[in-house]
Amino acid sequence: MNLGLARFLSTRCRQGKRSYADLRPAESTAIWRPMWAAWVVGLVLVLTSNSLAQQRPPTQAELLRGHYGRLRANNDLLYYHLDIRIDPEKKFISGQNTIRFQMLAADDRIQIDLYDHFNIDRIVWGEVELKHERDGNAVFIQFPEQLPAGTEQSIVFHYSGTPKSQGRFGGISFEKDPAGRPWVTTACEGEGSSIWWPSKDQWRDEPESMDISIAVRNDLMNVSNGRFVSKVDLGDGYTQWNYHVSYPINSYNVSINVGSYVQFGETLGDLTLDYYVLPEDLEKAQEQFKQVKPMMEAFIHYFGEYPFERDGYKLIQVPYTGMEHQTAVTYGNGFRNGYYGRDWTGVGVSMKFDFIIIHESGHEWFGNAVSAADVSDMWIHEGWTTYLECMYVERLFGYDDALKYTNGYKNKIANRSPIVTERGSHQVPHQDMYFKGALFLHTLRNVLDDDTKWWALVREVYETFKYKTAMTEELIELFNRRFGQDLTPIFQQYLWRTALPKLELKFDEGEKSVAYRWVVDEPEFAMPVKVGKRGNWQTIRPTTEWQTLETELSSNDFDVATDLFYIRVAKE
Amino acid sequence: MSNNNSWGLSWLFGNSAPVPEHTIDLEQVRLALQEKAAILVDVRELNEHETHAVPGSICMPLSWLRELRSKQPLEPYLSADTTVFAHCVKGIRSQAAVEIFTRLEYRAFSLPQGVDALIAAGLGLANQPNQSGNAP
Ligand SMILES: [Zn+2]
Repeated sequence: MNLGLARFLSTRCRQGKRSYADLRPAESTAIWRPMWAAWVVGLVLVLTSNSLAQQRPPTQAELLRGHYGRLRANNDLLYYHLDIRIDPEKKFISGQNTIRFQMLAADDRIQIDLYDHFNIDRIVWGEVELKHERDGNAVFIQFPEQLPAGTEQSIVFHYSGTPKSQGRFGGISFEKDPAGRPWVTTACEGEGSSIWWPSKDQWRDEPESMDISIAVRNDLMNVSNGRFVSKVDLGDGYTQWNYHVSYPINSYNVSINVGSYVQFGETLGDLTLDYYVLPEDLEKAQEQFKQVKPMMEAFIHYFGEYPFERDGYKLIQVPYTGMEHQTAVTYGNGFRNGYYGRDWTGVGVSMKFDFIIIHESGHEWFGNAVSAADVSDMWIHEGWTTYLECMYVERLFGYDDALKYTNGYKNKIANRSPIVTERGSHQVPHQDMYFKGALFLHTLRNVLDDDTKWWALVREVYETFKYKTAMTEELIELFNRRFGQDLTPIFQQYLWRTALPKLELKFDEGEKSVAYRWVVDEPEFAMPVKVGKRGNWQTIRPTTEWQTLETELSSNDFDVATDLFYIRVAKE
Repeated sequence: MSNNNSWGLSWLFGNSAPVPEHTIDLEQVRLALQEKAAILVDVRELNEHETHAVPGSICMPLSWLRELRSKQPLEPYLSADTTVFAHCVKGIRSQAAVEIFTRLEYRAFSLPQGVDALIAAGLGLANQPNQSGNAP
């Protein structure tokens, strides 16, 4: 997810009385302005409700959305074929989704999700029309008999209706481009895929592959995830655009981008890089998107590959800032460096690259290839991808810039709630998951203090969990094995606790010594840290018990490497 | 399909080996398309297709077909009994596409003609999806 939203929210929190219009980027054009305002309002609403959600018990709707109960766990998705028609003028969607799945346990009922303002035209199982019940956005589908465990089943879910817009940027938006042509795009990580198509709207289970067939007016193009398969004139003023996704995909990543696009492209070895932009922006895009290839090379340097080579990589212009849709990354950063032309981390590094290209594409590795099994663990998407930005900076501009850039994120962190939330209730974590997540990984690199091993581990995390959904505990297990020590209390403190570890230092200048310990919530917390004189650090291994170190340095001269370890320091 | 005009099409449905391309009569192709017994596939890349194409032809680039390891990704779009006429500019890419279609057990033929020749032969009209294949 694009993390501009987090910044806008924090701006709003600090300056609660400013109007939303004040939050939009200063240089946006007249055309962009209303879209921007709407987008910000939408995201602020989403985030506000999310942060509220953390303070109250989950609603029935959130439980239905987030809980991986019997009617979801009894089956394993194999395949979707979403086949719909979109009328941009009437803002109307109609069509069907073929859902193929394997029963993991014998049952006669499953849960599929679709927002309740859509009409369910019929649900068909072979020749049999199935009964269903709706509870909010959940659809419980009843089969006439038990489906035995191990059997493969297929249903066709026919639906139609006008998607309900939420804060005008409600998962699917019907806009006009600056020239007044229709521009229909989706970005539904917050709202969920069921805001525009019937799907198993959760994070744990992904189909192995998918076909996407979108029929739009002949004068428009649709770009979706996966490889372009074919374009078929339906003969009634509509053209069907077909795409094939040959890897597992998160349901919220499934996307449509309907507009008057022109395409250009290049290749990197066997990898195709295709770009879709409005004709008026072609020249600007041809210049700005030159950043894609070096970025790909940087990430391929770290991870050995682009995760979805068969399906290729696409970058597609949209009227919102951007989203990591798998193999169809969307872009709306105004063809400018930084975040919408501004220095995002405020330390003079962000303006060297286009934040949206790098961040959203970074998600191809973390978020899309490696995915969290529950929204509670979304730091695996956002914290890791923010760290990938830092890795990119290090590769392209060097270690010093990377260190500055990484530490530049500190002042965006609130440390007001844990960044992993309760499971099974669809509680989106606080925005700290981006920045604190990245700074936590940066800290672990320095705990390990062996870059060769560190980069091998980063790659191993990707290799181990790619095309799978994982939980933080599984990552911890891998880290523990590679570090050869139990890091669980460190993960617990940074991810499940609110407060940063505080290094308490008590100086006894007469004795030329300093006493040190960690003040943390986790009693077993023990983490090395570098102290002393910058350029000549010495490693100490504090625990929650006092220990003493001899030092010639006075309290004032005694430094702690807080640029390498994201911690607080209290000197007495 | 209607039988009214199928007199020229029996070669499409037999079990005989694919007909060498030079013997394919475009009039027969036109009838097959009109009868909905076949589809016309443009195997050039999308940007070429967007520039100039036989109306109603299906754009399915050779670059995509080359990626196919099984028939499965084609199944949502091509039924097993569909006959494919593939074309490009000079019949080179379409010949490569036909080899792929044939390997995947589709009945496919390469047309050596380019877009303009195919339009001149009336394939654009015959290929309009909603046009009735029945003679008036
Ligand atoms: Zn993100």
